[in-house]
Amino acid sequence: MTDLDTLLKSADPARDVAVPAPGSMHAERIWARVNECSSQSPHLHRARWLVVPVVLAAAVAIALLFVGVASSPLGGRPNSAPVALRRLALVASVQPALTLTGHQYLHSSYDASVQATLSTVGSNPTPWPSATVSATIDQWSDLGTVTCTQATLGSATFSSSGAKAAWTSSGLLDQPSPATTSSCSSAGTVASLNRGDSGAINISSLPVDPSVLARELTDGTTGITRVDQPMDQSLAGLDAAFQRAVLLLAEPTVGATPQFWSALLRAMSTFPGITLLGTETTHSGATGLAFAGENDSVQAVVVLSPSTGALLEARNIDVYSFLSLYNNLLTSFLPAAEKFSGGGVSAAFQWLDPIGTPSVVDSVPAAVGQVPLAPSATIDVTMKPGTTQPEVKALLDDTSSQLKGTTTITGIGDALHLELTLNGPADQVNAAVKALRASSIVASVVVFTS
Amino acid sequence: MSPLDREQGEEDAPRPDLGHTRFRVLYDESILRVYRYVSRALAPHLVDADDLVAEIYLVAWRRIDDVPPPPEDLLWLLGVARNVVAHHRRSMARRRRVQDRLVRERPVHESDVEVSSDVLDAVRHLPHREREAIHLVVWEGLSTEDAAKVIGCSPNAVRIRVHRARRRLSDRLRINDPIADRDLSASALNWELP
Repeated sequence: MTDLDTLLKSADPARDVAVPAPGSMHAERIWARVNECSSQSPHLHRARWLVVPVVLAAAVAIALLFVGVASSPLGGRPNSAPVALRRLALVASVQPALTLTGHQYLHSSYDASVQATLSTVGSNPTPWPSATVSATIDQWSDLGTVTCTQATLGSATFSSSGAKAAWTSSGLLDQPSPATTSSCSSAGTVASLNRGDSGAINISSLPVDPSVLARELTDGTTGITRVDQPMDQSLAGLDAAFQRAVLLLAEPTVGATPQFWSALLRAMSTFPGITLLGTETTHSGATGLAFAGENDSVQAVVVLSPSTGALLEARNIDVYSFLSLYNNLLTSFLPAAEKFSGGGVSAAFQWLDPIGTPSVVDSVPAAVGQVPLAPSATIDVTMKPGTTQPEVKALLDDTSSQLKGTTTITGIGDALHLELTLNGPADQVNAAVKALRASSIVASVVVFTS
Repeated sequence: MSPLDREQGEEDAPRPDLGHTRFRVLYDESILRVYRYVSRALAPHLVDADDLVAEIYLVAWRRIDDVPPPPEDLLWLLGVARNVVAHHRRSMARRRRVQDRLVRERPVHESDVEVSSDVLDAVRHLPHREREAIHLVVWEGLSTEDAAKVIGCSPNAVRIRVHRARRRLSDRLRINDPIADRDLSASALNWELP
C-alpha cells in the first residue's frame, strides 16, 4: 500500500459514520420506511404522481373543447397521452426513410437554450455560477463515429442578479469569445474511453414491434450505448424509458423506417406515467402536442408535430452528440488567461428545437473543421512544473503540424495536465507521441487506445 | 377469480412479500455496504442518507426480478445507489438557488460529519468520473471489473480514471505515488509505440 492509499483510506468520509448494522433499530427504521412505501398498491403509488398530470390533462381537454386549438390531421381531439401517441403513430408511418452511405453526412440544424453550471475555472472551485446561453447549432454526423458541430452562442443570461454576480466573480465572461465555435470529434475510435458519443445512430437494427421496443427502452437493452446509458440520468427514475425514447427522437439517426417511428410512438404510449400536457408552441414558433415523462424533479418533455409525429422541441434533456458543444461553450466564456486551463462544466438543454428536416450532404464545410481520420489515440500529457501557457500552446501547435489530420483538445484537467485526442494515420500519431515525449517541457506522456 | 381479479393480480405480480423473502435477505446482507456508499457520496451532509437508502431498496423491491444472484446483487444495488444519488444531486442543484439564500444561517446538522482534511478536499476537486472511480475502487474496495459494472463502462476506463486521479492527487498533495507515476500505455493497454 502506498502513501496515497494510506491517506485516502484515512480520509474515507464513511469512516466515522454510524452505519446501521443489520437488525439494528436504525436498519429497522429504514426497513419500515421501505415496507410502508412498498405496501401501497402500485395504483395508489402511481396516483400520487398522477394528480398534477391528471389535473393538467383535464384542463387541456376542457381547453380543447372550448377553444378548439388543436387541429389533429386525423380529425379527432386526443384526450390522453396513450390515445394521442397512438394517433401520432398513424401519421408517423407515412414519413419517408432517411439513408446515408459511408461517405456522407447527416446535416441537422437546431435552435437551443443551454443551461450551463461551472464547478471549476481552471483548477479553482467556483460558487457554482449558472447561466443560460442561446445557441444556433449545425451538426454533421457520419455513419461511423464522427460528429462535427458548429454553434453560434448568445450572451450569458442569468436568472437573478446573484447568479450574475457569481458568474462574474468566477472570472467568467458574459459575452462569448469566440461567439461561433466549431469542432469535430471522433470519440468512437478509442473504444475504451467512450460510449459511442459521436456519429449518427444507426437504428435499423431496433425492433419495429412496439411491445418489444418498449421493453428494450424500459430495460435499457437496445444495444445502443448512448441510449441505454443516457448521460447524467437516474436510471432508477420513473421516466427512464421515456428519456431513452426522447434521445432517439433528438439524436441524429439514420436507418429508421417509417414503421420504426410508428413503433416508437406506440411504445411510448405504453409507458406508465406519460402525460399529455396539451397543445404547446415551441420556442421556434411551431405548434404541437406536448408530452412529459413521470419525474418528480427534472421533467423531460417532448413536443411532437401533430401532422408527422416528428420532434418539434425537447426540453430538459442531455444529448450525447452535443458533448463537444458543451465543451466549446465552456471555453467561449472563459477569459483568455484560462482558455488552456479549462474548467468543469455541467450543461443540459433547457430546450432544443430541430430546424427544418435533416439532409444528407457529401462533406462537412471546411470552415467547420477537418473531419478526424482514424486511428485515434487519446493522450494524457503532464507538463513539468513551471511550464507556461505560451510554451504549452507552442507544443500543441507543433504537435498539430506533424499530423495530416487534426489534433483535438478534448479535455483539460488543469494547467499541468492536457488530454489530447490525436487523429491521423498510425505512423503520424506515433511520431507525434514520440515528439511529445522528447519535449523538454513534458514530464510524462500516457497513451490510451483500444 | 374474476377477470378483474386476474388483471390486478398480474399487475401486482412483481411485488414480493417483504416479510420473509429473498428481499429481506438482500436487505440484511447489503445494508452496511449500501449505507456506506450513500454516506460517502453525500458527505459531509448526511441528513438525507436514510431517505436515499430507503429509496434504493424501494427500487430494488420494484425490480426484484431484475436483481442478479450473489455476488452480483451487491454490484447491482450499488448501480441503483449511484443513480439514486445522481438523481438526488440533480434535484439538489435545482434547489440550490433557494438554498443559497439560506446557507448563511444553516445550522450544522447533527448527522453532518467532519471531513475537512486536505486529502478529502483534493478528492473533491477531482473531475466527477475520477472521483467516482476512487470512491468505488479505494473506498468501496471494488475491483476495477466490479467498479466498471457499477458505473456501466469498461474496466479499462475505470483503470484510466483511477490512474489519472492518483496522479492528480499525488500532485496536489505533493507526495510520490509509484502507481500514479507508472506509465499505463504500452503494457496495460496494448498500445504499441515505436
